Amino acid sequence: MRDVVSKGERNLYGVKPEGHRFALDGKEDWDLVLDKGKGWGAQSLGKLANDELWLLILSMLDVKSLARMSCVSRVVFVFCSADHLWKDLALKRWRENGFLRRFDFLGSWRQTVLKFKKQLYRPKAIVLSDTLFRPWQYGTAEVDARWLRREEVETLDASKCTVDDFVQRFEIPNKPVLIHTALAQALAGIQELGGHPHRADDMYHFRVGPVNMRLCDFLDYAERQTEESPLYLFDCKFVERAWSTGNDFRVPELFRNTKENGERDLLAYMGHDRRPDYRWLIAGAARSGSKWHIDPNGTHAWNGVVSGCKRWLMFPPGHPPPGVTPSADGAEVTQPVSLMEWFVNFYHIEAAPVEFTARSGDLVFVPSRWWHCVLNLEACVAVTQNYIARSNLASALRFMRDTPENVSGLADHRSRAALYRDFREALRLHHPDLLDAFDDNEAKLAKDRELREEMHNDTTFSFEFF
Amino acid sequence: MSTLVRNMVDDSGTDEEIPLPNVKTAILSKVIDYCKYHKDSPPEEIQKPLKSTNLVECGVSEWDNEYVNIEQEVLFELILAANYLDIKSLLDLTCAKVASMIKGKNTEEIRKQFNIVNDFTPEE
Repeated sequence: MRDVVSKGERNLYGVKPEGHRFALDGKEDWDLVLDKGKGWGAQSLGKLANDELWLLILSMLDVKSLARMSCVSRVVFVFCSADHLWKDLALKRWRENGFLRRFDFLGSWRQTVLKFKKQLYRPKAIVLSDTLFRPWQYGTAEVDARWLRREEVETLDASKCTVDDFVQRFEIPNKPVLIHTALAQALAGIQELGGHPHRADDMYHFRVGPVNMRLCDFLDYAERQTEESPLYLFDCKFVERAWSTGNDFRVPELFRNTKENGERDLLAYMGHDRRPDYRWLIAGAARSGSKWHIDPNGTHAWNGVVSGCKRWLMFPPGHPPPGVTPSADGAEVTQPVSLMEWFVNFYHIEAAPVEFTARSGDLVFVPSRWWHCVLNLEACVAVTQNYIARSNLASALRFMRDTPENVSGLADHRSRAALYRDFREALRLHHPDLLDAFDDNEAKLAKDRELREEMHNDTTFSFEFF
Repeated sequence: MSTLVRNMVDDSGTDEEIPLPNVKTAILSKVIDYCKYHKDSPPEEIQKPLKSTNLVECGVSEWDNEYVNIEQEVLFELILAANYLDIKSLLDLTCAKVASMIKGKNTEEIRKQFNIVNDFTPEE
């Protein structure tokens, strides 16, 4: 919580962190501080004396009850203005309706749900609460210039590089690279989508959380919100939604399956409907982003920045960043609630081996199993695609074979468990040579393992005589 | 069912005494009743926000509904105990009970229910 007390700024409702009590000076200040226990009812709810418990109770109220509750006392008003309460109510309503024709975000979820534009009431008071302060702090924290100084990455000019070059220098050694001048033609269709924010005839709706909305509505919302974890546009069906007009979505040349290079995207042989989710349209507000993760199913990925500016950090396979703890089976990752919180508390602990800023028109290659996170420095629109090529085929097949429970991107449990078998079938049909090579190699490795075990047993056996 | 107790058992085994200084005997006894009842039948998740002041209509079983039909004082102690012992389903149930006591009431009625002083100025 560096710089929190010295910032001294009061958020909209007079909430400050608990530590602020040490900065209070004199009677005037102390007079402003509201007693939480009293505000909740000293003989009743006040006894709970726990911000999280009070919020838990409020989280169970519907819109009308929450609005009435907020008029009960000044302290309760401040608690009821916690925006995540109103966001959850809005999202719940959306889930029930499914489709959002128009989305008008009025600056906060509370205003949006209650439908009023101007904040009429601001209590002249101070409420000391870490629980209420933290989301506001991380929702309005500024990006620190120190996080943007380093540039540690190899770069490549796509116009001066053949596919083979790229595969030899980066894909096979599993090294990240920032590729310039790769996108121009490929994603022109998408630029058009984001380029006319107020077109009335804008029909395309993309997936944001539990609902679909227009890209222009989403970008408006992104501009106005101050949340710790704002809604993120993340749509794996964007091509189907938007390209029925006939615009072609073209995968950048370096990654495209062609007659000569049929091995750039082997999962394509499963057919678009059977392969795991693999391509996404992504959009997010400034200060939002992707938290630390490893891409699914042992895939490589490319990420093209259509518009905006993204800060990338990467750590190599097997080396998670500070503050990030994967579970033993790798299925879950424990890390701070928002990426901003990670940056504030952990960025300075260990320098990331790969760190850079990607701009509009750039393409980022994320090799398989690398840890990465992405912070949007402004509102961004991007396209990403995951794939398996010859270079990561063996490790991806092993992943599917040995940890089917960690497979993701398929709708039901059965197809997740069957991905190894289904992918093999597709390879058998279109690229049997690759499958045979894999099987031969696996057999050889198994034999080596057996031999080593025998040798080990022999040694132990002979020592017993001494 | 109590994450706190489970962690202590994981750390020190089941022969060591587990100190629970923050929980009164009477309340602990009531918590044990809950745990015994739900040992083999975990309760349903309560839908948020509550759709009715009648908890049974929100997915709560008759037994659970009766279980939280108690004095306010005891209810609040139960919330604190469930929080301390880290029993999520009991915490949800007791907080839902409080929420059901708020739902459907107007502001003045809510104040009366929980004895909360109105400290807004007339303008506010």
